[in-house]
Amino acid sequence: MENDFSSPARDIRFHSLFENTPELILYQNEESTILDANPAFLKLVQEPKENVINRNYNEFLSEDVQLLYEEKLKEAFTGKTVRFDLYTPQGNSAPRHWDVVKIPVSENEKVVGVHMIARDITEKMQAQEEILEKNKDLQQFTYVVSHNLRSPLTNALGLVEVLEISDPGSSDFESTLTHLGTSLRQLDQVVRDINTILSIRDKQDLVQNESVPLAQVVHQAVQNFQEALHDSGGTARVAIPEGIQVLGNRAYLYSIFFNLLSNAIKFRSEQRPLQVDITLAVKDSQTKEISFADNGSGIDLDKAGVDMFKLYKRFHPQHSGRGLGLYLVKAHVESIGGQIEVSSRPNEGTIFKVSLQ
Amino acid sequence: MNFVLIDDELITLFLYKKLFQLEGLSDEVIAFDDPEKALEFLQQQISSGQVPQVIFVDLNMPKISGWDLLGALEPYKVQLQAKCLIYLLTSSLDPSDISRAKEHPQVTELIHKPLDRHIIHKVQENMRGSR
Repeated sequence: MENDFSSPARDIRFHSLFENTPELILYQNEESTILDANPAFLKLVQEPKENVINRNYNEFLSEDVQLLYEEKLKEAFTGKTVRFDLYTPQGNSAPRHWDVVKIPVSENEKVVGVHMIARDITEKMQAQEEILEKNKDLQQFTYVVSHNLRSPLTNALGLVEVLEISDPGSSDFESTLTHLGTSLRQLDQVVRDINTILSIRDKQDLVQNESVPLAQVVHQAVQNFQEALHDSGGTARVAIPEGIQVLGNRAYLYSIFFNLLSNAIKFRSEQRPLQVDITLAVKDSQTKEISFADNGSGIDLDKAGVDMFKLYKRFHPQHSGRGLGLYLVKAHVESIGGQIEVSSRPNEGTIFKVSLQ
Repeated sequence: MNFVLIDDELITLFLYKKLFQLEGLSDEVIAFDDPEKALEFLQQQISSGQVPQVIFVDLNMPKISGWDLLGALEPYKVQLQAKCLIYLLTSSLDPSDISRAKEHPQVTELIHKPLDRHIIHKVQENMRGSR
């Protein structure tokens, strides 16, 4: 007798495994008929055992994977253990990613049936896709950053070359030197930007969302621009009831409205005094949509649309700016679990809609 | 006008003008920090049969990028062909820019910044070659 020393007895242990594992286990014949199914499978397809036994497994799978499944079953009946991935619903379940192993059962050197063990790897696959997406993002980020580092750096290199062959007393020498200083300060600024951006990215999953009094933060940001608004003849109206709380991080929320206001002032229309309206529409009991509308110079979204929130993208050649503001706004909104949309018409104005919990 | 320079960065333009000046080519250069104005100028010149010999254009500019400008010059393909060398300038090292540049037959070369005197010399050689 085998396994005399182990307790409980072997078949009790295997039975327990079959009954209690969260993985789906089926036993099938060559025609794909289900001869046995474990409780995990029955629970997933929400059928009693008698409705499952003697049915073809294909009936539980989506059509597009049936052929693949049949091929793999055939392969297992040649005596091979096969392993593969599937994305399919089973019965009435939602579609999931499955890591499937088929293990042949042999009797007298002939395969008489095949065990299937399927493990739900949906979460793992999703995490993997997220990582791939993040990697792609990071690579793009690296290119953008390297471009913006090299841009002032190449200027500095060229200016030094000019300095080397210029007469130190000449006025050209002086202006070249001044430009060299500017280029180096720009370079420094890019490095600081990277720091800011990385610190947001770093904290993305760590930010503790808390209830923040929305009106208070918005008023605070507006207060900061009182002088600039006054000087440009503009007004900002805040129609957010006191007592409304949103989930977020206070510093991030402040930064969102700070940057939006700063843009509104920077890109105001010369043809009319700036008017900013910050209003609130409580959509359902949870989502709060904040509308940030200005009557400024607006932007052609057909042209700028996809790049609007991208790092170091600029759309107004005549204005200074590094193309960081809206990138930070979006990063901040997303890191507190919100969403942002923009609509705009050239020469009419721009509306940002920020949805928060 | 032999050389048209287009870059939205004023310091970059200053540097380029300086370089051409040091090569004794000051009089042959016209520089634009606004690509829209540059395009207007180019269209006018080409229409009146005065095709510039070399155009240096920065890829990364707001509103009208170097690629946009190339697109806008597409209708003048015939006039530009063999008469005008077009150099794209970029400080990015993104390899996709290089492959994209190859899709535009009218582009002579993609140059990684900084533009320096060696490159200007090389361009001058190319000008002699294309004449």
